[in-house]
Amino acid sequence: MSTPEINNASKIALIPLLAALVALVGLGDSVYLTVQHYKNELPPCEIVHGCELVLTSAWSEILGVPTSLFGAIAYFIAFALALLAAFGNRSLWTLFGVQAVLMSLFTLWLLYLQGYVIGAFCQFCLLSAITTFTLLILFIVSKLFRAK
Amino acid sequence: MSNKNLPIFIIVIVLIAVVIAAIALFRNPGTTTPPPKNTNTNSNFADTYAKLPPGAQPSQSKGDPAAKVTIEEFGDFSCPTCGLFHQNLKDIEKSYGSKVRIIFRHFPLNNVRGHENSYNAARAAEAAGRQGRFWEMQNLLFTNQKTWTVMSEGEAKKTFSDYAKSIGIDVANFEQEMLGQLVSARIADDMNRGKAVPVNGTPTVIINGNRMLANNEIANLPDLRAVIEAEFQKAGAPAQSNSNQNAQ
Repeated sequence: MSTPEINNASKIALIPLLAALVALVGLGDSVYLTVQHYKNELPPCEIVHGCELVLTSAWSEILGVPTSLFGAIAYFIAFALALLAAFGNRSLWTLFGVQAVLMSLFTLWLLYLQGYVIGAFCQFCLLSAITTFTLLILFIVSKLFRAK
Repeated sequence: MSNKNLPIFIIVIVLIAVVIAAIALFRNPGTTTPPPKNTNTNSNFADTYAKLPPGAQPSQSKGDPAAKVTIEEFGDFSCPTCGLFHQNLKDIEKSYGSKVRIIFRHFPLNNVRGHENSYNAARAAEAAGRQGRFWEMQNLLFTNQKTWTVMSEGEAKKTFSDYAKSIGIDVANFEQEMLGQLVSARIADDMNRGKAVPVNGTPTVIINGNRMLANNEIANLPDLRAVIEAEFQKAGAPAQSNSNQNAQ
């Protein structure tokens, strides 16, 4: 409470905390997908949507590692950075921003694959896209807020 | 202040929780086993089953027609779960041979995005069937589904012709049959039977006309084996183990 810097940090801490919670949702989603991948259990092909096409496509793995595992690791890092930032570590919040940008770029690529290459969307992957973009938006909002 | 250590403590807790949850999820056999939604009680389903339109005649089937266990699958060649079930059935065939009768029925989900080549794949299988090679083509289509599913219609058709060639079929005849009425009528018959079940997704698998298999019984080989063993028990003919005793 002694320096104005800490004061400032504790003011904005709400947004990093929120980001940490959002990252947890993404973490849960990608861990679920990773486990399903290794279990080799698939939902049946329903008449309405084609999730399983996405989850078994060539892009469901990168160098033999399930894409969702990369997602899980990325979300865990994002979660850790956001939480540490929420407790006052400013420089890690910038690092979180870099992470959020990278994750968003990766997500854009995955969305492109689903929309234009595979031709089917998977609701679990879309949830992950939403959480990633939310992380980026939270970061941008925090920067705008600080600029004021 | 402990303020500095608290986030690290939380991070470690979350990491441990994630690992434990992942292991629990992995070990839990029932994660994708919601009580099968269409599995009516046995008697109800058996009644429905008896009244179903016959489907293509004769059906594409293998195994002893008098087998104690009959598995009827409504499948789509583009469907990854059908591909997975196909591999499981191969194992079942290895263990039980002709003691388990397998019937394959077409239910191409052509309106689903990513399944655009399904109908042509069904036609390719039936066209191969006209030359007595249905199961060989069925196997090739399922085994290579990732390859041709993402192709354009033209490319996929070319690939099917290559498969036909590789199993020793007269390709010109195959290509002609693929577009023929006979083949499309058989698929339509199978689909009419499927719609009456009703098939809501693929694979829909019916065992001994009694009930539909649950998701885990389709995807997990041990669960599928358990179901088949149970059916043999019901029929009073324990399958695998008894085959040795009979031989003695």
